[in-house]
Amino acid sequence: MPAAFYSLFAIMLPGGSNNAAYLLATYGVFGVMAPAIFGFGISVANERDRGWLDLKRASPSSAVTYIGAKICSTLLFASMSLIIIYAIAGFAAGVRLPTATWSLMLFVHILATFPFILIGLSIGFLCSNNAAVATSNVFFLALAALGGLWIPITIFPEAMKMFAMLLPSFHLSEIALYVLGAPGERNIMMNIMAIVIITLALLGFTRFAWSRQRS
Amino acid sequence: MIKHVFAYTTAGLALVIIVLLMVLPTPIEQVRDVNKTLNNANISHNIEFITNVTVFNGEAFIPEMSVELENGLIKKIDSADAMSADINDSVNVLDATGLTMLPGLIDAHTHTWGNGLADTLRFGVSTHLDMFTNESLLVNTRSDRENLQEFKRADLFSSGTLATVDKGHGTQFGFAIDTIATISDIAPFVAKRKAQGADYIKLVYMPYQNYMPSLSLALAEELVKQAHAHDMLALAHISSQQAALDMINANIDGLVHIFADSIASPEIIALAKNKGVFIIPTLSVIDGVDKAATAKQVLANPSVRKMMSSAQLGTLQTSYPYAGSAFSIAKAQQNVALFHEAGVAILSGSDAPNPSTAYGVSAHTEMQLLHASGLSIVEAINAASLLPAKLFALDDRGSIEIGKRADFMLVPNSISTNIKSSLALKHVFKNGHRVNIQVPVANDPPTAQSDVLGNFEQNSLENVETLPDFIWSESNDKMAGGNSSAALSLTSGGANNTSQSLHVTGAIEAGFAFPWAGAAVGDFIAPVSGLNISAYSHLEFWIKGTPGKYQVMAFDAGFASGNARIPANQHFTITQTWQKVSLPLDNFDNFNLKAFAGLAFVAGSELSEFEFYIDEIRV
Repeated sequence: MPAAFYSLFAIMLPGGSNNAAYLLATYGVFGVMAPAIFGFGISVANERDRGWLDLKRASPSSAVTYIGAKICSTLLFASMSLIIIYAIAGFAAGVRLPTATWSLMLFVHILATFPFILIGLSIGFLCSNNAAVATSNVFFLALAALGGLWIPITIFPEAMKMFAMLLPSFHLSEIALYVLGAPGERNIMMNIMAIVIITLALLGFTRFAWSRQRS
Repeated sequence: MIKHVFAYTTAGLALVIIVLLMVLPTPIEQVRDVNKTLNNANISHNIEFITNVTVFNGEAFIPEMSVELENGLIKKIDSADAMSADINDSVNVLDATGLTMLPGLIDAHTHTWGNGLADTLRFGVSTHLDMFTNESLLVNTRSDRENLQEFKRADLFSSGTLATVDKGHGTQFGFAIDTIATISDIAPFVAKRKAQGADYIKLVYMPYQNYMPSLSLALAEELVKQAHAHDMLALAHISSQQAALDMINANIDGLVHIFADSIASPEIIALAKNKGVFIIPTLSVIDGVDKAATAKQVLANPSVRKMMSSAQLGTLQTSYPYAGSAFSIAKAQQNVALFHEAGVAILSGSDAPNPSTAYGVSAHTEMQLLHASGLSIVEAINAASLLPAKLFALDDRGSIEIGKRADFMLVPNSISTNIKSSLALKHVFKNGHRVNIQVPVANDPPTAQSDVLGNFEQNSLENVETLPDFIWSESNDKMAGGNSSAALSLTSGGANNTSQSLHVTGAIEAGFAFPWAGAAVGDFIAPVSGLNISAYSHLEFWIKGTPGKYQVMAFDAGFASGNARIPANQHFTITQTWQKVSLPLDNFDNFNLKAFAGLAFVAGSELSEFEFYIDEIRV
């Protein structure tokens, strides 16, 4: 879906070619959100409902191994999504960047998976199978739309801009845009600090969620 | 196998990522083909740096320099190495390898009409010190020359009109000017010049001749005093050593010609040195009156010729109708050498567009003539830049210096050993913007569809058969300040038994040095494009009238557009009976058959009252 969205906005809509690079930075973040939130939120809740997690916990393999394997597969899917988006950007939308910028931005986008993995995990631990689908969708769409991944945040009203500051999607897309050298003033250190704090907060919340579902 | 699927997938994905990163498009290298961009006349961006350039700093030629331009001014000058880092960040760079940057030239003696300021700028002359023009032209000059935006003309400083007496030199150009009769006229005259936008006062002092009246010494002295009282320089037009001596004694600031009637005496040289008088010799115009050797040399250079507009070509090709003993280029150059050796400041001024000179072109040939008179190449360039800027207090120009206007030209490096290289100029900049040095291409004039210029079988003078825009009208010297007159009418009875002819009556009166009156046919209303009549060989017409010598003047579009003073002409005689006159078109000297604008059939100074009938005029 992110790849299709990117194609739509960056290639097909008139005037899109001017923004293709800008949209690549934001849609890359969008692209990794889907596997992270849905992959975890829904599948973990699903497995938990079916008692898989209880079985896992009873088995010799540790919970860390289970989570680790999940993270690895999520990264794989996120990377595939990014590969498609990057290929569209480079070969169809006419984005031209130095190889170093391509690489660094891809790195940022892959790292961007982690905060969303934590969100997905929390949803998975806290919600039932059915609730997880709905909750994931709400978070997914809210993070994407309000974080400025679809439309530039500069055209948002002040209040929405303030709210976007709380969202990891906003800060991650800003970092990607910084790597790109996109026009506009941005405080990259603030963005990095914010994403670190948000990630740590999410880590804490995930631990809480993990302990909550255990009990 | 199945337990390794994760590893394989990861490895495969990593490989795909690496390959993708290798093949994703990278930016196209921005090619700095500045020459290619610059050759396009419609350059949209502004040059910020001139690099690898030799800079003339008023004393020497400094190689391997870079110059940064900003907001119409020179921002920075440093070695090309030191500025390479700045330059790498800019695409608006002109690589001037092999070229030398000279300051925009200042022509210290011009008369600025028509397109003069645009024509002169194409030759790197960015400032005119005008020595007499129509003051109506001065309205915008002050704001124009303070402007730092892109500007496609040279800046103008001017004396406005000149100070002369009724019927004196300066009154013959066809428009009324203020003249001076008594001492009491002088203070208001000078105040009015200042109010009209004049920058200095130029007076005409030529009492030692009998051709035309002149200011007396007392009036000239008072003019100098009043100019100084108004903080203006006082400059004098002189044509003899005695007149020059009078003016130097009268505390004149500068002479706008060198005298060429006699060799300068040691006394006048010492006096000029002590009083700090400067001289603008105008060797170009003296050379023009003498043999015009310099003009001929320039005209023989096809690459310079190519850069000239038809007006520039026209004035350079025009020769003076007379040569006086007071105009010896050899004596003039000898006098320049004497004053220069004594340390008197010599400034370069061309007196363009007088015959045998042209705007811009003659600023270069004047430097050549000064160099031939003993100034070094460095001194000759300074005479056309640094010195006039200093002596006329033009603080913003005249040298390649930080903070000065970015008015300059780029000429081949051979300028340091050959002054003629300045005419091989490659680029001209004004206010930091590049000027197109190619002549704007005019559309070729249409070919004449008929050879008939007049058979007068129809009752109208305003319709010359199939030649659109051509009309018949009287022509006389009133436009040049004379008093001659003429009247036209259609009358029955024409040559070869045709029904009608043109009857011209007129009277030649004293007033202009070369009086004329008669009938003209052509298109004289600007813009004049002319007609191509190169397919025809002769001008033929039938004529009878008051016996005597008449002439036919031929005008081309360049003349009709306003710069040349003396049209091409041929003489013929009239008798009391109809006769056919046939004149070869090739005998009209320096006449452009491809841009024929008109003819005038006129009586001259040998006649007083006259009449003639003319008919069946064809080329």
